[in-house]
Amino acid sequence: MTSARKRCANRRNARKCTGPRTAAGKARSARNALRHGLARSARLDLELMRAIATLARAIAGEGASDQRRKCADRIAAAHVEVMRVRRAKRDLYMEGREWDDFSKRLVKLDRYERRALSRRKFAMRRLDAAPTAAGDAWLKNFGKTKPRSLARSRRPHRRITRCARGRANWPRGWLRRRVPRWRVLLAERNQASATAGLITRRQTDHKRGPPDLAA
Amino acid sequence: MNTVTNELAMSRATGVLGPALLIAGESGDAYDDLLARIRAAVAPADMLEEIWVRDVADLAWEVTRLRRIKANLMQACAHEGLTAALRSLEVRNYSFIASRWLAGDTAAVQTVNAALAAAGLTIDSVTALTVSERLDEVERIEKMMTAAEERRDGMLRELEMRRTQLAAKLKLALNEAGAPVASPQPNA
Repeated sequence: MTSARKRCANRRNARKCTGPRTAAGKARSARNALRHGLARSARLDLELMRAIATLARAIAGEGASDQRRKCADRIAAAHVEVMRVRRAKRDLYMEGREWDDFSKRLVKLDRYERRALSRRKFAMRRLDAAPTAAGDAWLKNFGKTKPRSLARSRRPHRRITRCARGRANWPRGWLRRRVPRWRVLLAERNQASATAGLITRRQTDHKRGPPDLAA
Repeated sequence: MNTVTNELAMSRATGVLGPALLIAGESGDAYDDLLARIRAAVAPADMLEEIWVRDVADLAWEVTRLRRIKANLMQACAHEGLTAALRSLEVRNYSFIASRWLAGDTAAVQTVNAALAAAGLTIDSVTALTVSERLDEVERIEKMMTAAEERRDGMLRELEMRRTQLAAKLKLALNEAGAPVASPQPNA
């Protein structure tokens, strides 16, 4: 265990040396831990960001939905990472290191490539599963009872029946008056009675006039 | 016409995906030829397939490169195996003879051949000793070759799966639309 005296001496010495002081020294020491920079995201590099954006546009195509564009962006980012690793491998080949060091470094770089490829694979699957622009409209309307514009209708009595879940294009008959269940039952009973000729006075006299007593 | 279209698509894909990553001593024309052949076989339909095609070409190229590197390793380190062989055969100045043999010195080559023949060994024994001396490096390179081949096969599988799914979706859509879908006839 370090003695108290030694600890004090260490602290005293540490105060004397406070690391790089000049801007150049600080810039150099900031890169001490940098080996190949592959652990850093490609999105932090402006040039790589441009490459990602170009590739994402090419993947998504014109007029793609938001979800597809996001997926395409993920694919592009992963692909740029893959290419970055391959470039680092190429540089390693060109450096001409000792066989032992070379092969060890190559295996380490391979790990980054594997991860980026895995990310890209799953992003591609997500893109294939993502709906197109029409499908996005489907998702937008999923579970809604009526379009937003009509939800603010000034005619609250025109209650709208719940539409089929997730239907993208509202069918013609969606705007129909909601009828309480008891009224439906009553109408059915009246209909049945009318068919059988047993119409009650209370329900029909205002329409049909006085009942035929002879009958 | 079709060739022109293919070339245009290829140049477009190369523009977006970037140039080939070749090292010194590799031929750009050979790489382009490989890529063109794979493209012609796969006929990529969209950008995702372009990426896969490019990857398959890159990985096939990498496997070839690693094979070449392995062969170079064996060649460059052959003197280490020879040193071990001559040492076990108790040849005098074995280290010097091995280095001269590597440089192609005629006298050294004759000495080595005579020593190996006297012990009933061949140059294959030297290769085997070289592998044992550099086993770690050879193993790493082999591992990377296997990984590259697996990735290449995985990409081809993904491509196949995607096309199968697309075909199934198209068939379903045609069925829903009421269009007749002709099933392939045997011996037609």
